[in-house]
Amino acid sequence: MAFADRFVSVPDLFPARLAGEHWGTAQVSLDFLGATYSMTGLTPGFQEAIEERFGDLVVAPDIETDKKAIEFKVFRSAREDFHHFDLAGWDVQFDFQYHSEHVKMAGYQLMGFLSLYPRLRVGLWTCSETKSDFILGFANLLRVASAYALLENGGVLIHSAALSDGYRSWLFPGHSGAGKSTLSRLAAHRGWEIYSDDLNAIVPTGKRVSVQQVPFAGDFGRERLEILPPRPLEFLCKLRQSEADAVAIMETGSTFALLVACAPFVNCDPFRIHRLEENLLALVEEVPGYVLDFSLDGQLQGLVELVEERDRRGWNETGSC
Amino acid sequence: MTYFKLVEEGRAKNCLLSVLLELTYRCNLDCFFCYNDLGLTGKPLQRQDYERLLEELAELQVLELTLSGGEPLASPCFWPVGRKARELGFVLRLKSNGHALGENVAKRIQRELDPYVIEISLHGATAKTHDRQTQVVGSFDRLLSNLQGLRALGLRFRLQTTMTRWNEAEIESMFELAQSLDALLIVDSVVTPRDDGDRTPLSIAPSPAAGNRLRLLQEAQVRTACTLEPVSGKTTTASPDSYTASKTPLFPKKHCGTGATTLTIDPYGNVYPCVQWRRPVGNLHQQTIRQIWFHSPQLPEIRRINEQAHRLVSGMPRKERPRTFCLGLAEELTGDPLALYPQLLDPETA
Amino acid sequence: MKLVLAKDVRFRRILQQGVLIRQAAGEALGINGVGARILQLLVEGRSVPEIVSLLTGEFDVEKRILKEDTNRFVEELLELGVLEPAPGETA
Repeated sequence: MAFADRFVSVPDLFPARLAGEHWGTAQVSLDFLGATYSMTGLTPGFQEAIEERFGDLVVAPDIETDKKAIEFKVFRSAREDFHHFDLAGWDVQFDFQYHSEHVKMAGYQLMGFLSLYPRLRVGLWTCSETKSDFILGFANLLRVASAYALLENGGVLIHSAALSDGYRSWLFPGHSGAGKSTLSRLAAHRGWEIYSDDLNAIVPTGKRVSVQQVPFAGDFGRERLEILPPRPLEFLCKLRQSEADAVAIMETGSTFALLVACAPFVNCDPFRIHRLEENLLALVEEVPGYVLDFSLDGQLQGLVELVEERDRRGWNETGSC
Repeated sequence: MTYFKLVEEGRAKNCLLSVLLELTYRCNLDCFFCYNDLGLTGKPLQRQDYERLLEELAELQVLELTLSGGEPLASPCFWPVGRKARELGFVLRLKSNGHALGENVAKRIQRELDPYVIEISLHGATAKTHDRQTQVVGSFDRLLSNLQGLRALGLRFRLQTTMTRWNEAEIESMFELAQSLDALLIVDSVVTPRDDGDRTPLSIAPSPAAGNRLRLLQEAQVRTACTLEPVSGKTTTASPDSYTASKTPLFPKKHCGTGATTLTIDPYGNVYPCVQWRRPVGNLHQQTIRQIWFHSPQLPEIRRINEQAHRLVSGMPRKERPRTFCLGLAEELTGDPLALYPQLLDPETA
Repeated sequence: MKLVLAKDVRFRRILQQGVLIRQAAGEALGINGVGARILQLLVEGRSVPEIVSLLTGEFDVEKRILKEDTNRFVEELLELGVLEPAPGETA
């Protein structure tokens, strides 16, 4: 099936530039992960929906900031531009088409266009008129946009659970079913901070690498973001559900491969894969990786101690402890 | 009276004959030299605005309606506006890049809109050149396939190209390509700045030598039937002519139809004298088209300049007379609609 | 017989005259003022006798001549394929 075929009536009409007619004149700016996104072309309802969903991240318009902001334009599309189907039981999916200069994304009632050079600019064409329909498409495209914005700044968005004891953070990359939510629940009961059990940003901050929150909730996440400060990333752990708790060093190559597999959107982009590799190589050099076998009845504190102990013993030794 | 003479008289008497609607600036191609002002904002015209506009234009006996863009097919209003245009008896022209004119869309256009002609952009005679200008890989192959489809359906189309530094070496091949498709090729030898004043497109303006080659080629072209030219000698009259005793008073001639027989309307309802001269003469959110046409404070000035331009150009010795002179382009390039801009001057006369 | 414009024909009254576009043939035909008025009335659904009686009041011409001219003009347009019988009517 060709790109966008399953979502768009005439894929040949898919936009190739950021142009069209706006839904309205309302606008709102969001600030997260070190970037400001300036959303324009909104109806008052769309503005409201964004403010409700991303309220903590809304910033007042500022001429100087807006000049550097990532433009995110919302355009009107005809209802007949899209196929319409029952979403009940439908697993959210998207089509991507990658190009040296841009990325196209098609989804339910949405066409997205990310112009990447000379700087990131985003276009969303939708026929959704209600707040609830709009915000779904909007948040999905914003998620993709933030992956590219991060990549450009040396960071990466990772499918992962990220936890913090208040001083440092731990990252557990993995796709659905890896145990991220289970571990997050366990950690929450122990009073740990949960950045997200689904998607987290890894950002270089000076000489360190830190975990930062993204405003996209997972199963465990929140509808609204509670802002946690960035914390240095101490350990990267691959989760493996097991009968007993155990820790083993993960080879750098394996850590790298795991992270590539867990970097959504950009890891399928043949034009940006090298940039992703660059960013991830810097990350794996900085942060040690472990394979963490954990049992559901295990104690988080025990796991933490196991990892710390393994870390103290250093990287010269191999094998499980 | 032939159609040609009627248009000439309409131009002298400010009779609105042709309106171009830029339905959207959305586009499925990203042509390097596109003139659209993508930064323009405002309240877009909606379906009901267009319906009202078309009814008024039909009352004004406007003959031609052109749907343009961007890519007009990408507009949410394309189909409703096109259907309404047909219902109201306009001669409908579509300006498209042809990329989406596959079999299903073409059949739907034929069935629902019945346009007089589809004017389609061709950017080169090879995929390499065409795709370089459209910035969409595969657009040339897609276009050729779609053109064959249009031909098979019997939908009339003609090809239009802007000659650039990138495609000037292929102009002869482009004419051959058009001929192989039984289509007329219209070549514009002037690359214009964007409507926001950005002159980036001028960086690929064609060379003077290419302009000369084009002139020779055009002189050799046999025009095929695809224009609204009058059919010679075929003027139907209900005799005797003496029924109509009105004497035609003398009106000053104009250089072109800008603001005299034509108007262009952008997606936000801004009205301009023509597609090239972006001097606003009104906005449909504030006035009706009838009010604008008859009472716009700007249009009399446009028409006066148009008359001056006629005197200016026709007063020049034939050899020095520019082949094309565009008031809108003159104003955009020099600030003065009556100034002879550099692109006009043929190498011979420069 | 009620007549209508053929499907591919477009008609406008411009500057007291008329223009007919035959789309399929790619032709434009100019029509003088009287012809344009007759055609307009035909398009509005008037019959030929109705048109003749209406135009008699508008132009200073004998009704007999007007009738002959109108019939000839309508025949010419039917021949050219500009007009055709309305659906349900027979030629």
